[in-house]
Amino acid sequence: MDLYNDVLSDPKVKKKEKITVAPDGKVIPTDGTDKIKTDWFDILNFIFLAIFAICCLLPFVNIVFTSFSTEEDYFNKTIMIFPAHFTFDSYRYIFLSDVDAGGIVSALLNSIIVAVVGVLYNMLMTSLGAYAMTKRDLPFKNVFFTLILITMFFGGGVIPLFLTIKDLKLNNSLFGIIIPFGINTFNLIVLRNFYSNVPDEVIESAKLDGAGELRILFRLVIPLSLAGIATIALFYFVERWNEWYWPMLLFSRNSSLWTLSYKMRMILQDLQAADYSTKIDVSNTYGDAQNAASIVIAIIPILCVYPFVQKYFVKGVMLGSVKS
Amino acid sequence: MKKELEMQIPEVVRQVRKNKWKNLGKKIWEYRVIYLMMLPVVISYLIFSYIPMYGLLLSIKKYSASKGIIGSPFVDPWYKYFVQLFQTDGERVIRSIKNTLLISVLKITFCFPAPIIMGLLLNEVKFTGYKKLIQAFIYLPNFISWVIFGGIVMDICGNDGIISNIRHLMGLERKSFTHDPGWYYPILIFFSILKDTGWNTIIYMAAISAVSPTLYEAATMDGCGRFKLMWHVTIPCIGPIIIIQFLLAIGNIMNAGFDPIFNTYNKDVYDVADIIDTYMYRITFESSSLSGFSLGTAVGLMKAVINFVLLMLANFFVKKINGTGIYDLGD
Repeated sequence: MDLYNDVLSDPKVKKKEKITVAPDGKVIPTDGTDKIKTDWFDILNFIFLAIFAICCLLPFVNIVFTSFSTEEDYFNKTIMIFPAHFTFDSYRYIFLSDVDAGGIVSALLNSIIVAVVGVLYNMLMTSLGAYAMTKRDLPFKNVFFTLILITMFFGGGVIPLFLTIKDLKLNNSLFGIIIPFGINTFNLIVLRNFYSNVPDEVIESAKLDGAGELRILFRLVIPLSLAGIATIALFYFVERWNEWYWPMLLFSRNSSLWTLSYKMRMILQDLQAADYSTKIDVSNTYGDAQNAASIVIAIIPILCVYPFVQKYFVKGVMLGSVKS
Repeated sequence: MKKELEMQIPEVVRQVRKNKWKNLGKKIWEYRVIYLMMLPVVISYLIFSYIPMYGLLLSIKKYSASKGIIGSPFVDPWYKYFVQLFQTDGERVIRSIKNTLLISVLKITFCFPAPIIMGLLLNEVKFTGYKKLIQAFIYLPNFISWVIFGGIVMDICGNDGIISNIRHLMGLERKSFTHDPGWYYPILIFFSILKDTGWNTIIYMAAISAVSPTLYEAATMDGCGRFKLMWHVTIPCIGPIIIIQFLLAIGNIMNAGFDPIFNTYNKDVYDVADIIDTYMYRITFESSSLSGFSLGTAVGLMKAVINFVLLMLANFFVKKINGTGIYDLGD
């Protein structure tokens, strides 16, 4: 780096006797002692970050506490810090009474099916595409790549896609939101970067041993790129679990196919009363504590999966983004 | 000219040239399994991304459900729906465009610098344990969908929410902030920052960690304190990434964010909150006539074209600055 050499070779620069380098590469000018100095800025920074993190958490904490309280408490409360009477009433109501076709239990099951099957389908399609893209001298590779890239810039839009899905009669089953959204182009590119990190020699030697391409992909490349797989799988999972727009467009008349996110939207926007189909029981509106309980149920899977994959996805996203 | 060149080329190359097509065929056969692997992917893109593009024709046709897209007759004149948009509902269309641009500008002003600042601040933390803890907390809101987050927002800001309760305690009347057009933008921006900033710091932290420590050493020897280090070393080094993100944000200016707005708006704030996407949704799916489809497609088409042009421009400028475009990824 020119800057470095210029500084070092400049006779006018006074070089300090001792320079300590902290574990994360930060240089701390010292006078020989090993203490890490914290000044006013560090304290301010500390506090500011803590406040921000608390602001991020506070809505969730509020909701969790609301879900465990009773209705009257909710109306009479001033500021809800901790529920006055701890109760499972809301959860009991949700799981036991709201079990018919458009209810929350069936929505939960639908969401689980869509998430699990959807993520598997997504990962399969994306892996196949990403692996094929890593082959450098594949004839017509650029044609494929351009084709895929164009879809990132320009698309038909919501309505033509909606009509296409309807024409394919996919709006009668859960496949309607699984199959059309098989591949997210951005994830494809990130996964391709991960796969291309597997050294060519390893693949060559596997080929010499007689392995076919499919076997190379599933037995060799994928196990070697687990960080990327975990990251992309998490992204797809979150996308699937939180998806409500397309279930709304495709399934609004078909209450047995509702997914949890869509059901949440109806609950939270009090849309149950404005029924789209005659099957909905209009009197089945939720109170506030039950709203909160349903929110907690909706976010529990994400919270469960989150800590496990956190160590993978930070590294994964960093690698993926810096490379591309 | 060609004959002279050919006489100078060695024999081997000439042979290869002659067998060009045969070589290609051999390579295709060699990679046949790969092509098979690509097949489902290509089919998926063709059916669900390219066929709908054909459906854009809908904007110039009079849609009839029984006849489908192809069978529907062209509407007369072909620009009827585009004009109709501006004639019947012109005010709302223009207002939605204005809101879209306004909200996008607000987002770029406030939500764009936030992750950069947060990344710089996090980088200053010397205790890695604390850093990891904070990171775990701020990434979390990103995974919750806006359906739920919007519900939480309306819960907090609504008539019975915490803020109202505090007002009640202070003797003021209860108020639902999400129904007040004056408060809608601050609420939107504030909660967008809470939700998106954490996740977006990842890219900036990756860039910051890629800055070579020798630069810091050199600057420190020059007598730079903490803030000077940030200003003279860190920020210039992550400059390219900032510019790329900025240009991408500009390229997306027509997408002011459907999810946050759709999940927190209501009739009272349509005037300030309606963006092109939400307006398009309403005229398509909540209107009584089938012409809603054609109108909606027309709006979608206009927006897609403007978006496309902006993204191309953004890519052009990124290429000028960085040497490679955002999407130049094929090796």
